[in-house]
Amino acid sequence: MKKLSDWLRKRSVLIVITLAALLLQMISAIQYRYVRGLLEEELEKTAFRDLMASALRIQEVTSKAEVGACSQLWHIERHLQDPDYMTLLLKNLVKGESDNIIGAGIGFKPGFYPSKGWLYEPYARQYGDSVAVTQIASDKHDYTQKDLYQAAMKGDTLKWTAPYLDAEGAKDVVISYGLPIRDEHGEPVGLLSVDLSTDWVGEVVNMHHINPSSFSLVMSEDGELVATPDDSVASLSLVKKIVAMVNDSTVEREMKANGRVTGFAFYDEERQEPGHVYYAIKKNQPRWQMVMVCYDKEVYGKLDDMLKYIMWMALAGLVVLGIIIQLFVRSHRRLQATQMEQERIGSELRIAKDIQQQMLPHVNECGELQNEPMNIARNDLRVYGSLVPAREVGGDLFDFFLRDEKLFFCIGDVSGKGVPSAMLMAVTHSLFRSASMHENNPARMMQVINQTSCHGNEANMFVTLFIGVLDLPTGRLRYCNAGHDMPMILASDGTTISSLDAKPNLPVGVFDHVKYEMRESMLTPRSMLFLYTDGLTEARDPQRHFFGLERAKTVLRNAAHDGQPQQLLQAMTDAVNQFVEDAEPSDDLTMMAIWYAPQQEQDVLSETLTLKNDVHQIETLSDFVKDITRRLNMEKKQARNVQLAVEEAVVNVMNYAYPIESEGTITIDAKSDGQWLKFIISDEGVAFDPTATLQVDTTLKVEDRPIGGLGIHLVRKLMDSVNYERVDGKNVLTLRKRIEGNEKDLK
Amino acid sequence: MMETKIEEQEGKFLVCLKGEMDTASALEAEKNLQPLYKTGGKDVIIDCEGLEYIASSGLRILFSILKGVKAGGGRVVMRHVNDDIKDVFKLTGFIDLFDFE
Repeated sequence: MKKLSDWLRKRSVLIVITLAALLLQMISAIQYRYVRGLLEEELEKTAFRDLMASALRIQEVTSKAEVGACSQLWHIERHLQDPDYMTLLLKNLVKGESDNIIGAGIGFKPGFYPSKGWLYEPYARQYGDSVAVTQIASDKHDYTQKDLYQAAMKGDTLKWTAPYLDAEGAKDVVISYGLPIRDEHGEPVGLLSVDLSTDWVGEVVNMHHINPSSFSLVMSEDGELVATPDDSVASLSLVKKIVAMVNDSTVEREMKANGRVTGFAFYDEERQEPGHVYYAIKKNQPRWQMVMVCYDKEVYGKLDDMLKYIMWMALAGLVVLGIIIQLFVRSHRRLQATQMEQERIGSELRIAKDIQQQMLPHVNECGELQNEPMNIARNDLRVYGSLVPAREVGGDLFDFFLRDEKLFFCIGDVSGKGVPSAMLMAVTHSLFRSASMHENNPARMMQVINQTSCHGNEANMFVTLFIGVLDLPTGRLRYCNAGHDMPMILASDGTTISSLDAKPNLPVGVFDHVKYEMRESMLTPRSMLFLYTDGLTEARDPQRHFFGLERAKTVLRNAAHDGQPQQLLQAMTDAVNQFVEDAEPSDDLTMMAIWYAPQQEQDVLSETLTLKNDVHQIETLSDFVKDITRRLNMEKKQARNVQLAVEEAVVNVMNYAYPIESEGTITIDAKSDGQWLKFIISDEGVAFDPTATLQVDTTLKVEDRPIGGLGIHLVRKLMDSVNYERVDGKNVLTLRKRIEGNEKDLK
Repeated sequence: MMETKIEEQEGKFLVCLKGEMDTASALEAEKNLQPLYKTGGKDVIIDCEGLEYIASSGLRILFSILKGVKAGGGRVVMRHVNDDIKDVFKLTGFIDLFDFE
């Protein structure tokens, strides 16, 4: 069933065209029949009119002869006593108006003129212009035996005879008309006969043809041939055949009698084509049958031709129509496929957009920042970022997160736009996350990202990237710039805007062995760091003017003084939208703002202990820590945790900062503002960042667990924050613990 | 400072740990506990009744004992572990490695 419907759908155009062709054929067949019927009717009428016209012409001739005969009869009956006058009258009759009378004679009652003998029949015959009268009666030619004579003697009204060969008088094939001659008593005494040659009948019937091949003929009432067409038009055999057919056509006798035309179809074997015979009977004497023959080809030929033309043209039209429909259907299908493809791509892009937006740090419905590993609420820092892609997906990225007491952040712009850029953006984002996991040095992060990006970068795409690491306790900002726009810093006075000083390294992804350089800067309290991509400065209004750095600075000055990065970015976005008006966005617009405002601490406690790198000094350390926790009235369990954490941190330094067997010192500063207890452990050993080591996987089985890494793991778990900085050739590790309202529940 | 005591009873080692096992004490203790690294499949019972404090180096020793005993087909049972010590075991994930009584 499915196959059939598939087949039908595939062949739908063919089926429609075939149906249309069939319908067209049906219509033209009906039309043909109708028109042919009309033509037939018309032909019948024309045939009848023609036949009647010929009949009328014949009637004209015979009537003239009849009238001539009648007028002479009057004279003859008044001068019967004078035989010589009879011959004169005959001459007059023949000479008279009707040229078609070739002869006339009077057959007298035997012995009417004794002087003329028993049988007497004077006959006048025309020979050219002269007329000769002879007595034609003889023993051989006994006119009294003739039907015409005998009828006259009975006083009958005479008819025209059928054509016959008059051997004595006219010496030709004639038709005769006779009138009885009566004496003063009204008794018939003779027969006046007028002979007409049949040649003129032939002329009359050959005079006119409906079509070139059609012809007419005349038959007597009894079915004998009176006049034939020329041999050139119709052969004698054909004529005879038609005569026979007309005589056989007894079906319509009644119609013949009614003087209507009758017709029948026939097939001409000689010409090998069908034709029609029409015939009608003449109303007056002689009651001849007028016959007309015409051929279908000549009558309907044009109609047939027309039908053929129409058929061919219709077929050609349908074929053209079919091709057009097919083309249309194909292009329509292509269009449909394209539309579906576009919808699919569109929906994929929407999903990609969502994925991309989810990747970035963002504020959820509850107003909490998502995608942030550490959820420590800090009062010294506010960060906000926004990314508005020009298309569904963008090639810009920004990211930030807190690790220990450091803010890691980056902003970047992938060359190009659209999906390829978005893919590279996602890769770069992931690379940043993984590179910053155990690394505090932005230049080294950049190095790792660059090397990975260059590997297999066949598309030669690159990323301008700025990576910063802000140490929150000190405000030290370490950063590395790979070809990105330099961030701006709005100082605490709210007006001074400075740009970070940085070596503009090559963008990421260009060469794999680029040496990235790190710079340092101290961020003063209550300053706003503003990062952006060129989508900001290069936003264009409808007149193609750039938004530019100055406008950005103005907005920065006006909107940043409250220390609200989100409001600043909103103000900046509004300013750009207002500037751009309804112009097409040319590039992704990405911005990030960092508000840094460290709190001044009032120390209620400050102690320092200096140790040698010898584990046997741990007891001294323990006493030192115990003393401090006791002074701060920390509860026993928390005090123990702090003690353990500090011991682990210090032992870690003892083990790694100084080479084995070498001597060194470790300084431990303990400070507290009453709320927080802070230990700053510093040494002058080799640079070593314990926070950058891999986290211990506590879920592994005995066999799989490595033995090391437990110390720093415990420090992280026991303290609220751990922070490492390399400052002035010293390793500085800061541990912080909130004294009251300890929120961290130990598992 | 801390005390360590090892006894062998009914084919099992009984270890008693007392005092504070900080990094320095752990170094001393390790010398005493060395025989437990290879028990030849014998179980080890570690009594922590008097143990008040343990640093990661102490944990490392216990872990080394555990590895050795387990490799020999025996088991290590911790006894009388106080809550503070147990917390440290929890933080390090060691709680799932040892058997507690």
